[in-house]
Amino acid sequence: MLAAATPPLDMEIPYTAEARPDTGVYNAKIGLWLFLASEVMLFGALFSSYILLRVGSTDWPQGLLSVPIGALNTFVLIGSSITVVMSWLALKGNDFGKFRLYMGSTVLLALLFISIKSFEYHDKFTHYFVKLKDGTELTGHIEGKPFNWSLPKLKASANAPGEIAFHPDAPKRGEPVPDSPHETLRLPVEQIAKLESFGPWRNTYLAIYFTLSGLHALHVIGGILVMLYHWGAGHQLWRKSREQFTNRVEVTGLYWHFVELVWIFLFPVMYIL
Amino acid sequence: MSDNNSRALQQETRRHLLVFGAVALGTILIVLSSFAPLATGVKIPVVLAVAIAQAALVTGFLMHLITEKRMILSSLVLTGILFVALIFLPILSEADQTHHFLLR
Amino acid sequence: MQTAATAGIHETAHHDHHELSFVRKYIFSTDHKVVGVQYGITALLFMFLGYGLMALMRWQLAYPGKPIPVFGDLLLRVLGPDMATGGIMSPDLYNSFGAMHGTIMIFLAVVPLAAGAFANYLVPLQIGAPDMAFPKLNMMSYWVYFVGGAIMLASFFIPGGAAKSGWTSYSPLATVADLARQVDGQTLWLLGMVFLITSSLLGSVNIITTIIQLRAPGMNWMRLPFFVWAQLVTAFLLLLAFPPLEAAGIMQLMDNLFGTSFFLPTGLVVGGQMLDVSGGGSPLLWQHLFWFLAHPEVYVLILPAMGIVAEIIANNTRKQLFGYKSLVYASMALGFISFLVWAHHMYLTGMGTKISTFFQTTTMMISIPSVIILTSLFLSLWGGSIRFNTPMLFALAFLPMFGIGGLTGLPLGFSATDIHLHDTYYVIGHFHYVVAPGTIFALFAGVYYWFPKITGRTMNEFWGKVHFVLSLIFMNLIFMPMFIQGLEGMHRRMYDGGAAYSAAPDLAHGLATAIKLNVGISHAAWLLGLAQVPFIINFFWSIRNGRKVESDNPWQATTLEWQTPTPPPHGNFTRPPVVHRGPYEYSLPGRAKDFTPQNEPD
Repeated sequence: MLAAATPPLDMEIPYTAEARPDTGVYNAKIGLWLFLASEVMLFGALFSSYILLRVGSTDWPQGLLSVPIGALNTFVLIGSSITVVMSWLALKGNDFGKFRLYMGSTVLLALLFISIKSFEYHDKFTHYFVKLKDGTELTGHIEGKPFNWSLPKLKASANAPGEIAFHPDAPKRGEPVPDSPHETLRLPVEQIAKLESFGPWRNTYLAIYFTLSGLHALHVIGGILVMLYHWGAGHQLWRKSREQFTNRVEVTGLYWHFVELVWIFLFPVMYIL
Repeated sequence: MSDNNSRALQQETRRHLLVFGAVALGTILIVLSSFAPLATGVKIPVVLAVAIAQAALVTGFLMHLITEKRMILSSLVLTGILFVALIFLPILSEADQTHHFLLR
Repeated sequence: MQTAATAGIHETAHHDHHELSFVRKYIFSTDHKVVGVQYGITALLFMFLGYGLMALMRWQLAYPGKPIPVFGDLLLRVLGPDMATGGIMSPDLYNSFGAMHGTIMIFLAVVPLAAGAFANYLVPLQIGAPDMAFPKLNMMSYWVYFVGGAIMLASFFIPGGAAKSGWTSYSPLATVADLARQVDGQTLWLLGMVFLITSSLLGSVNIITTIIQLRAPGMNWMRLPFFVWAQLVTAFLLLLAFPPLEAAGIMQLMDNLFGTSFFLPTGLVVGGQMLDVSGGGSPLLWQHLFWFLAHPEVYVLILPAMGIVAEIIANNTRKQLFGYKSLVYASMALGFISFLVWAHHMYLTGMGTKISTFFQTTTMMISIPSVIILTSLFLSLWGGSIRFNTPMLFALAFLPMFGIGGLTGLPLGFSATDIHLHDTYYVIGHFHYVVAPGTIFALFAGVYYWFPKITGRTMNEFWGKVHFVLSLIFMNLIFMPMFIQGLEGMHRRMYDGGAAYSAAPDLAHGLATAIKLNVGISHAAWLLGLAQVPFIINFFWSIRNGRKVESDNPWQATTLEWQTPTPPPHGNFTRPPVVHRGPYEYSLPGRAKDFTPQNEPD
């Protein structure tokens, strides 16, 4: 048959740039939406765990996180998701320079988000809970703001201090004010029964907070890497196939919006409710 | 053609900025509600309603789901249903014994 | 007709393309066929390993406390005296092997074989595509799976041994099993699972996109072979069911490494001491999230098997499948309902009656699509002129074997009967009938059936039939007695094989006799291993020395994978295929041949 004369198909995967007529989309868009579907289930499971843990808890801590800082971070993320759309629209308008401007600002906003987040994390690991052997329980900061101390660590370290200078937290609204609220306490180490920072081990609220926001932060970092790649090496593909590059930026944008979407729920659930 | 194109782009840009404003407004509402003297039973539904509205704006307009092709929408329906099942069934299974408000 | 020119084409194909290096061609290959074969061989090796663990456990069950002949010494040397003093399997080792047998068989053997190897190799061919939609992701999917497998294997050799809390890894047991060690077998298990889940995510996104986007012209939805439909549903199950387990895995990892209490309740006492954790967690939460994956996983195991069986039955009865559309819709229904039945594994957790009723109802509902599929396949045999070759024998055996597995599941689906049967050998018998003589038979059928397409040679028929008959006999000798043991109430996780029961024969009447079945079961299990020897030799011998196929379509099949050169070159088809008809146009009246390929014009 004539098959012998035809050269073998060149290995081109169809519909990487143009849309398939009957489905109306290109491959990467379907792939990305499927990926997002699975992400929905991933974060959904964690939110479901949050609800289950909270419903089952006797005492759910509130007000551990700063609402203004969280709100600031929310605005940063919302802003970044607008700039990423703008960068895609710039490509549609054939303006590569504008694309770089917007993509670059998205990356910068994302980095700002991560910095604020790590500031918040650091804050938790320098905030302590102390239980003394006489049963007194205190929360507050240790002088010098040491990072993530614990009793075994303290005892094991070579130049272990005999006592720690402890600044108790100001009482919350509605709680009785102690006689001397801002006094610095000197706590001998041998009097301490338990010492731990407000890390994920402190309670299930912080556990789910660190898990959810940590996973979200990993997604942000992943997004930063991809967007930096487009910003830097983007030239090459843009020269080769404008359509394919625009598609890539579009699906990156979709991913980035999803990252924002998760935060839209994370913020009220963790900071407000 | 290109003139047409740029006008359409301008329109799209304007729409996206509007969405940005609306989502930001939602956040402001949420923050305000955190300072308002609301009972927890009222606060939770109010805040979640605002968050869901924000999410709808993001998925609908920024992610273009509102004008997306049927193929993508139909592959997401299942995800939506299962998401709801995943969120609610574990709680319901606890609620059965604790006489939680959801099943009372 | 479609066969004549292909040998020549194959040659030219090689010369035209710039030659890829060995590494790019066979190791880090993006060709879906190479990835499929890689998946297949790795998964078969893991299956062998999974069998080996069980074979050793069966010694401990049949002859508790006696040193294992031959292998006992090996275990002692490799794993150390803690694990196998004097060649006797220690309780810890027994637990490890039990957990790892399940993990390896499900996540590293059967699923990668069914949804990795067969799907990768066949789906693009059957829909007429040049490759998968994302070839690089496809390569990554295999290598991420490989790393996950390597981590699982490595966990045997760390101090304390591999995970030992069952393949279900229930918390808090999984967290407190090895409290003294910061990094224990469970930690590596969780890490390995994260890799396996990522791999299956990449794979399923790829499969779904490929099926939606890369169908050949004319290949509309109702012309897809049933195998492709089964793989599509399977991929959706993997896509949406695995992430909750990933979430649960992350949380258990946090419990293990960072001292959180996601799954540890307040006041948990371990070894007589209050555990120093914040508490407030929920052990039930782990079970919910775990079974949210693990029940759909059952259908991940079974749907591709049904797809393979459907292809082989249609081909070897030389007629249309009975009720193709009902098969398609039933598989979709099966996939959907499979997400809503998970808590039927949890009746004994004290979940509450209302929610149990919900899950009992959905569990009974899911038997409807399963029965539709099985009935359609049975009815497809009616009036066919059946060819009894090796693949067909395995496919035919699948039907009653899966039937037994499915029907014995019903008593487990009702909470009343489940109270008696839960965690007994009855459960083991039930799900092994589904997976071992069920799915694995279908996978064997698939290996024999598509072997000629992949290698250009057929496997030996005689030894194939020997393999089949022996496997069928021993499979049943292993799993049928387990139902009896289970009905007598024998617990499934006993290190001594239930020897403790015989200490109180008046309290456990039937059990004293039921445990005697252990010896027979164990012998059958070892003989089943021997029965695989013909297969292994046949498989490797036939790659080089099997009978050469005379055409590209040795089974006279209709689907597109047989319309390619043998083996298919990079890019698969010599000409872009155009599809003109449904997948199973056998024995059309008024035609010279009894089969009409999908790409043959009217």
